[in-house]
Amino acid sequence: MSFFERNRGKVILICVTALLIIIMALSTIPSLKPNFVSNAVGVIISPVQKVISKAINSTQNFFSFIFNMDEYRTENDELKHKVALLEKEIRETEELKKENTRLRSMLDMRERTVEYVTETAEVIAKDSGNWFNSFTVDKGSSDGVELYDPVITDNGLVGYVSEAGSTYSRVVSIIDSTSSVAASVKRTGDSAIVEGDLKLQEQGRCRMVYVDKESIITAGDDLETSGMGGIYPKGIYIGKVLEITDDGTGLSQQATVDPAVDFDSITEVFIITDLK
Amino acid sequence: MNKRKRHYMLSYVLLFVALILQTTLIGELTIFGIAPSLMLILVVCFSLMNDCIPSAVFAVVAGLLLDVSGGRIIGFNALLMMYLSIGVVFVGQEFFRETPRAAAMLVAISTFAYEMIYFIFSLAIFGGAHFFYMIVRVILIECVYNAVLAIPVYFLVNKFLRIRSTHSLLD
Repeated sequence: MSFFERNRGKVILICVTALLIIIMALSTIPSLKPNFVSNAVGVIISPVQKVISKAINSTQNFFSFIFNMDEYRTENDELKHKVALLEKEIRETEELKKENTRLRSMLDMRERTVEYVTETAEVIAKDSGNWFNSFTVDKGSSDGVELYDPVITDNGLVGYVSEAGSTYSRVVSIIDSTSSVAASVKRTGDSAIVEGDLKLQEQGRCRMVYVDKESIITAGDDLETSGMGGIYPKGIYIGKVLEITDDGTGLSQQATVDPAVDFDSITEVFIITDLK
Repeated sequence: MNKRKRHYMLSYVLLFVALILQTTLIGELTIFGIAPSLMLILVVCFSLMNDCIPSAVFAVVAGLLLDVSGGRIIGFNALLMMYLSIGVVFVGQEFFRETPRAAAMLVAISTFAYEMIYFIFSLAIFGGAHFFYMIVRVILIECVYNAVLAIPVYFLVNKFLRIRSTHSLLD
């Protein structure tokens, strides 16, 4: 009996282990992701995930509507009042906009507002584990989505595309423990980094680090992307500062951030595929 | 098609269904923000009632499906699941009787081992902190949640996915 025959099981086990370790090593190279298998599985399961997540959302919406009827009525009245106020504000803004354009043309200044070309996508699946905060959307490279495209909602920044398959994309949220965003405090102009934190991730929050010790940021300050780092364009709203603490180094402060986006109930996002 | 082949096919169909549920419905059924791991429960219950080779293959496929459907490093879940499955085959079949209670206990132990390794590996690769907090806040809650879910999964596997074999991987 040869060595292989005697130790067949152990040899197979060692070979499979070695093969999986090689696959692991290869998968850490960004240019190899998504590989053929990953893309094939994604293409097969994403339509099923889409149907199921739609069914789940519809069921949740139905029960939420039934149970919160009174709340919705009150909210409806409040919103009607708010709409009236906002309509008035819009009319005033339109006037100001016209005046601004006129004055700009008089001064021969270019528009500085950056507009985005976006692709609307639905969330069809969430991360299967408890350690990361990422999800899958139903748009991919065939819709013009590319790796590292920023993802937003009406409320603010969501994250970036970490993998663009042909019919789906994976999005890493800003509260994920591997995520970091170059940010600035709107009121003071201070720069800092907003990064995910394992502990805060569960509460749907993240933290801001490397805030200058002399900075006068306070709870309630608004944060937006600073445009540095190469992924996120400048001026996307991130959220509010909740609490400021010393980071223990004596050189800088840190803060807990409440993102504008509710990551638990996110169902639709906009992927920024280009800047106008 | 013979009974064994039918069982294999059904196993992989159920695995696929579990993957779909894991990435959709399960995310909505969190307790204290923690989602159970249906794939892990299925692998442990399958390994408790089947021989080493089918269990290890089942575990590798389950792990690879998890990897390609959202894992950060492809192959990591597959490797972990495979060794976990082999461990369950030997420890489970040696020291545990095939009862729902035993399945729940094994699932709790497996979840702890699996998530600890996953957490330590993630810390090493991606960084992070709050070691003890994460053990209590995430891993222990998931252990209990998975153990409870293991009972219905045990009955499901026992009824549909039991494949008896005379071969063993390490024979």
